[in-house]
Amino acid sequence: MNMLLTEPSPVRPQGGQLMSVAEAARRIEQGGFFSIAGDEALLRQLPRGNWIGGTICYFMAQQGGQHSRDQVFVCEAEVLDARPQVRFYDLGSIGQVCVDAPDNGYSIIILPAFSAIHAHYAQHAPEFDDMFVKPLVGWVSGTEPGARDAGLPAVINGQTGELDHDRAIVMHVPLPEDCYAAVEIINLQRPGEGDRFRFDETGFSAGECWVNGTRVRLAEYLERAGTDLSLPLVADYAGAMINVSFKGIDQTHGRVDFFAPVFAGVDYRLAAPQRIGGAALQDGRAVAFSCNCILNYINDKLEGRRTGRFTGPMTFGEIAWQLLNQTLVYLTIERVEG
Amino acid sequence: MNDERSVWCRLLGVGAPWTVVESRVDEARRQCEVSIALEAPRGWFGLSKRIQPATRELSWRHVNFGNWDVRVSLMAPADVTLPTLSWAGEPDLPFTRELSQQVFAYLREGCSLQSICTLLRLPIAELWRFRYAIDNGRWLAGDVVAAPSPVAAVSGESGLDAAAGTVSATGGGVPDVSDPVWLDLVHGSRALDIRVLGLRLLLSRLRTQFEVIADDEVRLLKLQELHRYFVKNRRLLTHELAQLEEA
Repeated sequence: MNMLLTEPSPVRPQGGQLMSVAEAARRIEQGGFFSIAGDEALLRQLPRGNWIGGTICYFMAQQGGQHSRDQVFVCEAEVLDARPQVRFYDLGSIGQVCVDAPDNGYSIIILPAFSAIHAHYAQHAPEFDDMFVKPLVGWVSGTEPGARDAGLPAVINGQTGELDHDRAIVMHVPLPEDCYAAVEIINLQRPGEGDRFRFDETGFSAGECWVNGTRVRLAEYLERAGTDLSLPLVADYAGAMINVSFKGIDQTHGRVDFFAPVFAGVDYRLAAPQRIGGAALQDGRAVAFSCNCILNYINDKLEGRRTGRFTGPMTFGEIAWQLLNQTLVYLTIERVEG
Repeated sequence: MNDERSVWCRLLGVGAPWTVVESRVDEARRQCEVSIALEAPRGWFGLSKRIQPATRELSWRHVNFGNWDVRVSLMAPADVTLPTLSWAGEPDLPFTRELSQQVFAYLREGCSLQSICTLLRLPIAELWRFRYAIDNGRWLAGDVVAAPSPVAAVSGESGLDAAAGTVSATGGGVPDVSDPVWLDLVHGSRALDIRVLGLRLLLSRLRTQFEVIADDEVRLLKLQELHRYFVKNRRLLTHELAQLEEA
């Protein structure tokens, strides 16, 4: 799969910009509302204000893909109506995240990777009250793979300065009646023509599953077939291609682990290897928020390269209502004509 | 039987061979817990009734009585079939059938889980368990002896189409909830070019749920969800609504 690609020349930022801590602080102090991504030490340096944040150090910046632990990525949530609301959600309250969202507006959520709320959200978000009815986008925070001082994935409430490893942080952004938000994804993966996989249980790992109606041990199947685990499983959700990326094979337990849950009762196929140009990345509308997957950054070697006009954090999971993998998520604000 | 137990039997509709054996009241929390057990048949000479020894105890939240929260505990021998009565529930569900029916009626009216929790003073975790059972076809709206659903009572008919026809709600440009288009969309028998991600995800979830949900009332609830989605997002769905209008 090839996520884009265009030459690294400056673009008008779509979905935010990578900038210095000083510049981010200056903007926060001017009173706007922001979602911010960056290294934990940098997020801690930012002043209190109307922002939410999460830890990550890979970005699709205005100049192209970039790893940075001395800059933060800042995306402004333009205030067009009432003031946005910021709050934490824990395991007990996360099911109400869409109910709490404004009747007309959108919400940005950041979850700390590998936490219980990350797992709970991944497996149960499709069942949440009002899910899919109100726009919800966001991402999963992470740390630098292999870094000794990486710490734990975290989220932060900029209004209080509270940093948290176990709760989700959410900004609910109301919109005026003549506007509405639209959530889109760009997933260049397509299901291949090969075997059909079905799972009995929803979860982040699987021992056995059904392949074309025959029960098999998935780990053995994948190894025997010499499967390229950089290609995800893909499910067709009424025309939306939804990926589940492989985390790896646990030989000890005979188990296959995933970065997002496989859902029971859903048909999956391995993605077909392909190279696709950047046509899908040329959405001309103004992007209010976007994020992309760190696996795309790594697998597609995005360092120094751009994904069309989209900028944003390269994350441990993307959220367009439900948790996604290897997918670009973006949100636009549309104004009703007349 | 003392007066208190007798009153609880009448209030809950408990009859032989089941009986109320104990009721406990927590004044501070405004909670009542009523214990029900199987009554052994009268002795040969009809002089006494004994309570059969129980090997399992089940507990469900029941409908509120005024400002009192009521919980029903059932103590029963392992080999006895559980009663399918309004004051009892399924072993793995949190509510009695009567409360389940009440909660389901609120869901049918489009109330959020949080609103239902507030109105009925229910813990969100229990409501989640119940909703999960609905979504996975493990709770049947028809499996209730008491408190028939308003839809069934009004229509006097059975079947999803008949039930759908009794409900009326319309959003501008959106077909009425009773229109067969909603069922066709979920079944996939109505072709629709969908551009909106949220609709694709919702429709996909509903199709998966329909594979396991057999109960007409629950299916109707799911169709209402789809209809409500269209009403709420009609500005986003101009391409999809135009196709429905043409058809």
